[in-house]
Amino acid sequence: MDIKELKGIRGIIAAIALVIIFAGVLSSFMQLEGNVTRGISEEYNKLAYRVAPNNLASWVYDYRGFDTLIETGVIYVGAVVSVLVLGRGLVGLKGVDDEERVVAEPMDLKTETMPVLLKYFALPVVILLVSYGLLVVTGASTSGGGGFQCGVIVASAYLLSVVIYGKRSPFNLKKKTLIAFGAFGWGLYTMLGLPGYLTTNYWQYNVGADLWSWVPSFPGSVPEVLRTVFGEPFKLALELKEGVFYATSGIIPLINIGEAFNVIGAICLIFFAFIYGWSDSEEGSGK
Amino acid sequence: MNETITNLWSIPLLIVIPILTAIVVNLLYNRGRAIRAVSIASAAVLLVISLVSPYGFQWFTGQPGVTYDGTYTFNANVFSWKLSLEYYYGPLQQIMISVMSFLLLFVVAISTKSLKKNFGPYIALMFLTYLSAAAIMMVNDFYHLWIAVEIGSLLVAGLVAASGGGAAQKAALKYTFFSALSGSGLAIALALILGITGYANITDAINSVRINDLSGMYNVLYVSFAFLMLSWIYAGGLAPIHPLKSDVYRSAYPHATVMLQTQSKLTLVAIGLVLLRMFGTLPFAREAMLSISILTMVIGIVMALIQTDFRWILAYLIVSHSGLVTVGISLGTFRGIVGGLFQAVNDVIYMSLLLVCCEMVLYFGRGTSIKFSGGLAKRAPLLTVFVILGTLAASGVPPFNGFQSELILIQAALEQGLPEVAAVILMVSVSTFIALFRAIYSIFLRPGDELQQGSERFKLPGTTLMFLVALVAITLVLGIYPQLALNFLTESALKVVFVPWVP
Amino acid sequence: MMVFPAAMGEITPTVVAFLLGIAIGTQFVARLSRRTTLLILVMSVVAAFLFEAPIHTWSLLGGVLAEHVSFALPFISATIGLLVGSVLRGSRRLE
Repeated sequence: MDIKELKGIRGIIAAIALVIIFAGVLSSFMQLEGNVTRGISEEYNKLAYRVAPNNLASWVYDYRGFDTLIETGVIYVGAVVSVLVLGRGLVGLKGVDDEERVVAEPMDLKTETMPVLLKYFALPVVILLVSYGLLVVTGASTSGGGGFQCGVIVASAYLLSVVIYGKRSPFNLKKKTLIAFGAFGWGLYTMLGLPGYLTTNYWQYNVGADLWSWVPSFPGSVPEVLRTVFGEPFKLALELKEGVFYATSGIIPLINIGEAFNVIGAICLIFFAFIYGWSDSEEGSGK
Repeated sequence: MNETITNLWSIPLLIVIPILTAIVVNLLYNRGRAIRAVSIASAAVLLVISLVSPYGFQWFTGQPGVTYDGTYTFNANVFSWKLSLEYYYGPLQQIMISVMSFLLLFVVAISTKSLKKNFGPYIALMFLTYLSAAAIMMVNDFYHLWIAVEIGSLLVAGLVAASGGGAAQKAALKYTFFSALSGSGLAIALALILGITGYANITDAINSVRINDLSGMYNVLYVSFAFLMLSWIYAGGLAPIHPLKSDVYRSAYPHATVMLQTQSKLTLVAIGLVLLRMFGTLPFAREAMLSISILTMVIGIVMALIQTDFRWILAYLIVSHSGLVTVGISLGTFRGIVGGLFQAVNDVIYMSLLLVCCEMVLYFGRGTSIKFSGGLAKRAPLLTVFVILGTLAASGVPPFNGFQSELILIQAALEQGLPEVAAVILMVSVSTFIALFRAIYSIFLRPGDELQQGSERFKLPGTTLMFLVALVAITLVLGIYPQLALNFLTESALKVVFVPWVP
Repeated sequence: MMVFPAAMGEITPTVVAFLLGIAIGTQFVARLSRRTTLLILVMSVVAAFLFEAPIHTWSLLGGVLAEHVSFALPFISATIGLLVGSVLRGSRRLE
């Protein structure tokens, strides 16, 4: 839409609409002030000590874990669609003449003028950034971090490497690797629902933490072996003022690894497609 | 109405199988045969699952509900606030998702045969479109509804952009831009609802509104209603943004449009029912919905009448018939809702019939413009028969299915004392016939120029023929014996009218 | 001072970070000089000290020396993993 189109009657209508929306939202926020109902979040807080040490992780990946699975899908689809627009997997009907294809050209990156100092220090920084990303993902259940953040940090390391070293970057993610990363990530997240599904019919039931088998109306049961395999490795001793609790976050850390790979794959793929362009015949990066 | 089971086996499979299929076919990328095998197999599995599945709930991640006295329960019949994300699979979901699975199966079978190369990602998007529509249909949670709508609009853009032309990419970009508004509208509505009720679960939110005194909070309710309706309009392509949606329908390949229109009809039904359940008792809420619906019908049909391209005509007809669906829902009465839901089922089927015919015209003919005479009838008589049958079904001629649902809609409108609405519905069905027949006359019937000179007949591919026959059979069966579909729909309509908190 | 962890969760992150480090390290094509490698390792130890051990770890194996003196072992092991991974794969000297 051109800005000129907003002059005259259209612009006036748009402005009035904006004012009405603004007034509506503002007034309802004002009405909400002091009247917010806590609702279900109180229940979540009551249960906090029993699952992951970090309450946020258990909200995002346990109570609303399936939500996050589909959200992960949004990122995956975002990458697939962005790269599709640039040329990966455009389709045509057999035997029907169609229009010219839109093809993305590689970006013209000039790195000769980069100072030597930058080139010398960039690689250590890239490596340390990736390590930081991995620290964040391994602390998913105890810190505010997690898979999304790890993915974004590693993607920024990739971008830094490309910006400093150009197309022959040392952090050399190939397009097949990236697509495999994304697929592995979302696939891992999805498949981690399977153990719970097979034992209790609840998709993504956290078999490691096994919070709810004690409830009388709980259908199914979790075998001891699954509880050990998924629970033991992530068990921590929580020293709270109520006493010492041994709690495990179960499959949450594993889910976060899947999430991280998905985000690395997706975001790096978008960077990749913009930098190297997309052509189905050549490999592109670093050759 | 008294399903107690909260760990229904089929619901996760309906979501997870499309995800895994999408991942696999995206990886396969250019191995056409393998993609075809995998995608047809999994679409068939989805169809079987949706047909044989019993009814019930799935509380994802197996978190219980909290009862009044603070104990936990896994029984859906005990009153409780849900800790988990809830999906419900009932009769309405069954018929909608079965029909969509059936369409997906054939769309995948046809497209994997007729596309050029590298169609892995495209088929992946097709499966994810299925996933988003199924999720929107089954979910009983505002937050998840938002995510499903979000991923759905991204997929629409992807499917359209995949056809590669400049016009398609422009349409996709425009649609993404505006559908971002739809997503954020839903998010604001969600935030406000969460603020006043404290529950993201739709049932719990409605219960909370019923239990707690919300007098003096009407402003919040109205604003969240307005934003939810905004997202309804955007996601379903109703009146003020109909040009975007019809642009999308036109630019995608017709087989992809089959999935796109199914998705948007399901979204309209699902969000429409949520609107009724949550805000149906608010004064003027239904009137607002009704006026948008009528506007959509009228504008859609008028635009369809002035188009000169078969694909454009179909695109605007789909929009206009979306209005038929929502008119029924926004009447808010039992008969109205049944009519709206039945119209959604019928609409998806006969529009698919017409769209597949349109794709065949793309192959055989010189294009879909109606300015030139095609004279296709002589060379593809069978296709002509199918397209005429589809037209009759779409314009509500007995004994096809469109007749039955439009009849119910007209009755519902008259019952409510709205003869004007009934008249508009009648006008839409008559104009549908005119719009379609204009196209059919010039593409198929009018004696053509060079196309007619060839002597050999065009042969319909086997899969396509099977699909067309099946679709015609369904329209006829539903037209003669509508009770077959109505049995699935009445229960949901009753629940929405009398016990809106029950999903 | 506890040497052994009270629960497995204190050392699992370190192991996981090492494995993930190797996985991503194989995507690096750069042979690092000995000096750069040393620099990276020293930096990672400093960073690990700044980040401190994850909450709810109590033992030496979890990286805790004393209260307020602790190391984020996953960070160090991830760095080592990355270096190992790049050696496994690396072939090209950085220009």
